[in-house]
Amino acid sequence: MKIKRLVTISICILLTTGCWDQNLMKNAILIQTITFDRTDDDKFLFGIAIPDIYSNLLTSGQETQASNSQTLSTIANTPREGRMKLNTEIPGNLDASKNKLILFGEQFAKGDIYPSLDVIWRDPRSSMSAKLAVVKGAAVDILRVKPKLESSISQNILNLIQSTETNTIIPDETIQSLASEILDPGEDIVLPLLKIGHNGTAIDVEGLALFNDRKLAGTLSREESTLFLLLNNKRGKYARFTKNINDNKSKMTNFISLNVDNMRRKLDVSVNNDGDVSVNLNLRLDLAVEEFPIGNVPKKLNQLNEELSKSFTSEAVEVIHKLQGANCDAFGIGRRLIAFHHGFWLKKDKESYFKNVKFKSKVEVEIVRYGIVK
Amino acid sequence: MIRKENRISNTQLFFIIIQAQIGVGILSLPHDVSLISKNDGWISTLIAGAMVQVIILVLWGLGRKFPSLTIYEIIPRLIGKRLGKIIVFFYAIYFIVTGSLVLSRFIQVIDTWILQRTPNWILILLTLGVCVYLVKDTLRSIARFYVLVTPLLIILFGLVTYALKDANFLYIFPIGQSGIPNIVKGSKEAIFSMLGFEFMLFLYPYVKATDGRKLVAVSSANLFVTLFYTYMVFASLIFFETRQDLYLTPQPLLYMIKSYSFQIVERIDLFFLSIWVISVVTSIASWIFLASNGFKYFFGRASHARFLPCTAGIVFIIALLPRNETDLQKFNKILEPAHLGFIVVIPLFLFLFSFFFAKKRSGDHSV
Amino acid sequence: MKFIKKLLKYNKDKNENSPSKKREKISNHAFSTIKENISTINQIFSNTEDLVIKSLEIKTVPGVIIYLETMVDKEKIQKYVLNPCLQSPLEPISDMLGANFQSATVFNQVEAALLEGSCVLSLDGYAKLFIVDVSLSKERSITEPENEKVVQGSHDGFIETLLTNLHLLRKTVQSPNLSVKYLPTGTQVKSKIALVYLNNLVNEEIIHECEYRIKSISMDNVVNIGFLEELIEDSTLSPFPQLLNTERVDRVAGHLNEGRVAVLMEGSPTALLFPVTFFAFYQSPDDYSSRWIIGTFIRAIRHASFLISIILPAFYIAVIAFHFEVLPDELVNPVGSSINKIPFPPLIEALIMELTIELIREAGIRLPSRIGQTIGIVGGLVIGDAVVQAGLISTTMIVVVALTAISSFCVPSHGMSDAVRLLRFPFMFLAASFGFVGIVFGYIVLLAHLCKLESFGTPYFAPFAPLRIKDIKDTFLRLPIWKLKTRPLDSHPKHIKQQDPLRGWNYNDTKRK
Repeated sequence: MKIKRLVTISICILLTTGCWDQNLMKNAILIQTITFDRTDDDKFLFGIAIPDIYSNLLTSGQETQASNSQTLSTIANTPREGRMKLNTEIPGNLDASKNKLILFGEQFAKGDIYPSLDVIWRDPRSSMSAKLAVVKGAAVDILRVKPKLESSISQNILNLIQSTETNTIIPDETIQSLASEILDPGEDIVLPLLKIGHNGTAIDVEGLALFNDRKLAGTLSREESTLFLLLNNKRGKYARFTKNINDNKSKMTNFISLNVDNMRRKLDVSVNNDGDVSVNLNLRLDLAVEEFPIGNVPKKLNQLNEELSKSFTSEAVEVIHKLQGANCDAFGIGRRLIAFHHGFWLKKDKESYFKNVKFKSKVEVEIVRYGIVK
Repeated sequence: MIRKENRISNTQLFFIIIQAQIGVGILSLPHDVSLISKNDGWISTLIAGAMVQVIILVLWGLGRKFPSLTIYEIIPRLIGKRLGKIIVFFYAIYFIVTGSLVLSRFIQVIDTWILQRTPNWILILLTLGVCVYLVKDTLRSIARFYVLVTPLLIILFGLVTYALKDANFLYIFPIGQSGIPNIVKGSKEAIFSMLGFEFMLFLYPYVKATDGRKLVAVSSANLFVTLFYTYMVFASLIFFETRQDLYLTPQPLLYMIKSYSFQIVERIDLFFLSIWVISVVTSIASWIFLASNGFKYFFGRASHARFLPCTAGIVFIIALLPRNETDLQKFNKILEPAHLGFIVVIPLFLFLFSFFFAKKRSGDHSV
Repeated sequence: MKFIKKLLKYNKDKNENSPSKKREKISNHAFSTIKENISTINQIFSNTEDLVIKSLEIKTVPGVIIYLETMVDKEKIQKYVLNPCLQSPLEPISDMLGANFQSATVFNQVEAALLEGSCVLSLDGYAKLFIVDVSLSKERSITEPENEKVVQGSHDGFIETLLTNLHLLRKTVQSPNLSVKYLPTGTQVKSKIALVYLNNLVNEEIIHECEYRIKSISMDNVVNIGFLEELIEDSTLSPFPQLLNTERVDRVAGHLNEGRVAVLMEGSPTALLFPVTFFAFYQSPDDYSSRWIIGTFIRAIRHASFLISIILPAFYIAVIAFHFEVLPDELVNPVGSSINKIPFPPLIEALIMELTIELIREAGIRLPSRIGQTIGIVGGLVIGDAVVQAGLISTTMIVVVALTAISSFCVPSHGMSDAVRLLRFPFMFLAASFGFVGIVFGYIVLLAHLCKLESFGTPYFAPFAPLRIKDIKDTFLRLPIWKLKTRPLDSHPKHIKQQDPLRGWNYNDTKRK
């Protein structure tokens, strides 16, 4: 009986002493975006965007969204050191658990991006659904843009990324889903490429940034990005193209706008006895015509199908050419070799195997719908 | 006479063995196994399950020979009172040490993922308090609790399955690449996560069912656990790239679901951890229960509850000893032969011994 | 030291002069002379002034009639005693008095009878005393109990008189198997307790156990049924009630039909039912009067209310104080800005609001009904709003606390509602110390406790522990009546199969085709 009492009392005392891990929300300043840059004298520039603290001091009882963001940056050796340095400039504790956006400056991305991300994977409280992107120029500049439609710059970029994912311009990836691909010797990553446009008032998605073994190596334009994603069997809700079907100049009547309804991709990797890899990449698209200024789709259906197939195929060859030029194995050919042709993989040079892959690609197109008029 | 409040049914036996087996190992199993067998870890897990099944057959055979005695009563009967009692004592110590190791690993995970600054000894104390409260009453109440919390495993299963939408099946290939010796070595790692079936040594007389049905119950429990673990290992293998990514993540399951968010909640790994805590508590509680019953038979008292505070105290002290991952590894290595000895060698020896020296008795039992 | 000794001696002295010891000095046997009888009865009743002693003559035999004027109905005395005595020419008293009389020879019986409102006739020369029941019954009318209102269904409730309650039960359960057992309890003041059960269904062990427990009560005065409940239940340490209190007749009848036992006490309109499970507290007669889909839905909401009222404040504290990254991005800003200026840590905030709500609740019981409603609305709104405006409590905390308070009222049983109100606080403390892990530990202890608790031998958390899928049809869900073919097993009734097939007309029709 006595022991029972002793135990109960000690448990009660224990519970009243502490909350060691208490991490009060009101003390935390939530970082919304972090940026990594390389300065001209080869130093690491760490930047963050936090909600504007002063705008929260409204009449009590009223709630407000964090309307503006404040940008801070500092030179440091590693991201965590950068955060520690900035912590001293801010009242409150910087907290990265709601950080949803990580931006790399172009110069920085040309170096290895993996070491800078280590701190995000190591901290149990960081958000694994953060998005990564590369910015043309210096990433920290993009934080200074004052957007018109959205309240904070981070929200702006995130919404932008979301809508472009839906439109199959950039792949739907988070830092977690990219982790395996970054570490995979047989696959390379691609990241969205942002740029500041309209004289510093808006942000644009320019296309995709191609990486070769964690270093920035090339880019794809917007239309090429869409086709690339389709070739990689990743489709968002919409995938739109506007194509010129008549070699004439850019009169409106020479164009057609399409949306991909359905698609089927076949990728076959085969290795012959000499170890040469050849890939058959076939894509079959069912398209819906969204805009045809000339009019009367059914009459020209076969012609359109032929033209478009040719056009898409040549563009696909272009895209693959660019990928090979950048040595960016975004299709995961290497991974397939590891899986199914392991012997040959071991003999290959892990750095440059992708350049020597022979691609045979074909895009077949069929128009299946054309709206409510002919 | 086995009193009414200690009788459990066959279904309850099934659930108890599941809960005793599924514990702290599930989180680190995919990582540990793939360190050795790379992307064939799932085969290793299956093989481990098969090996456990063989051991279960041996244990069942022993239980069948003495259907109304627990292991603590079988040993003195076969070997003699004095030596038998000493072995019973060592069994109790073994269970205590195993329990402490499991508790220590559990606290390490909690420490790393959620409560970094809370002193470990407070968490250990809290866990032990809960475990002691769980097992201090009759076996029937323990069984009811174990049955009650088992459906929560379905939530774990669901969460992991949700994460598979980002899986890449290519990571599994080529199958069999690691070679048979590595696969078998990997299954040794997997067996340690499946420990808990030795609970049946103690439970055998309390279950009211025929011998055959008891074997079916324990075997199906083992089958369920094996499949469950294999699924988890498989899921980790197709989600993470094996050589580098999985190599770097000690708790891959948590990592998998960390990045997903539903409309109302974000860090799902916290919910996974919360449910997993319940499974671990049931595992640790089983070992404490076994240990205090061992002491009960050694000292010849009527109830195991009096030995619970003392057992918990020893577990507390031992669980405080390992300070980091390397200590735990060392601890594990020291314990390996003990596992082999107490779970495989001694029961096998008793089984064969009983064949030659003792006939099957069905009559008297002790409380 | 001396002072303490004096105190102890004082206590002992009090015990020595206890009435039960005084009793032994009075002889128990009735006397033949009126005078001795009168003086004995006066002594027993401590010469109380409402003991009326009237002399009368029955056929030349002098006699007295003794009664407590506060307990008897004077008209009945006139009708049943005086009139027959004076009018009828018959000699044997027994014939004169008619049907409702008893004869007694010991003063114990006389005392009990007088207390119940009978009058005692003592005739000179007769060693027997005659007792006639002429009690005054002033009881309130049968109305629906205040705390257990239902939308549809019978609106009958028990009242304070035991016999009327038993009458209501017998009217509802017209079966020869309905047995009543009287157990008088209490050493000083004898309270009448009745056990009611259906003989062909109930498990005899439960009856024996209950009788044993009631007979082992040695208490001066079992004041009300709450005392009785505490004296016979399995575990008083548990916050959960193990006997179901109810004032509704149809509820008792329903439970009797499942093999349970009801205990009723004179002076209390509450009946205690046992053995009960946790889920019995979440059943309401309303479920059975409405359609089964709605019944299932409402029951599910009630069970959810249990979880909400215990875990919601703790969950909120854990999220705000420990793991705010659980909040989705869209919520971080509103919640964050609402707690930004609050000076207190979340635990203190929560405690302040919870205690305020408890105070309002407690005060609301005692307010007169007209003011009560207004104060309730004004208090809730004004306090809530003012406190937020003053910047003391955040708005989200008010929402959480209000939700919790509402859901703790969803329980049909008062005892369970109290238990749930109490359990919130340990969970809040655990959450404030250890976050989610603390809540999980608390939850494990709660579940383990529920699994261990037994009510008269029945597991409290049946049918979930031990698992009986067949019984879930009436706990969690409310399956259609024609599916309820078997009785639930938790009360171990003798006959499990209840009825089959229920929709005989439908069944027979298909057979006919």
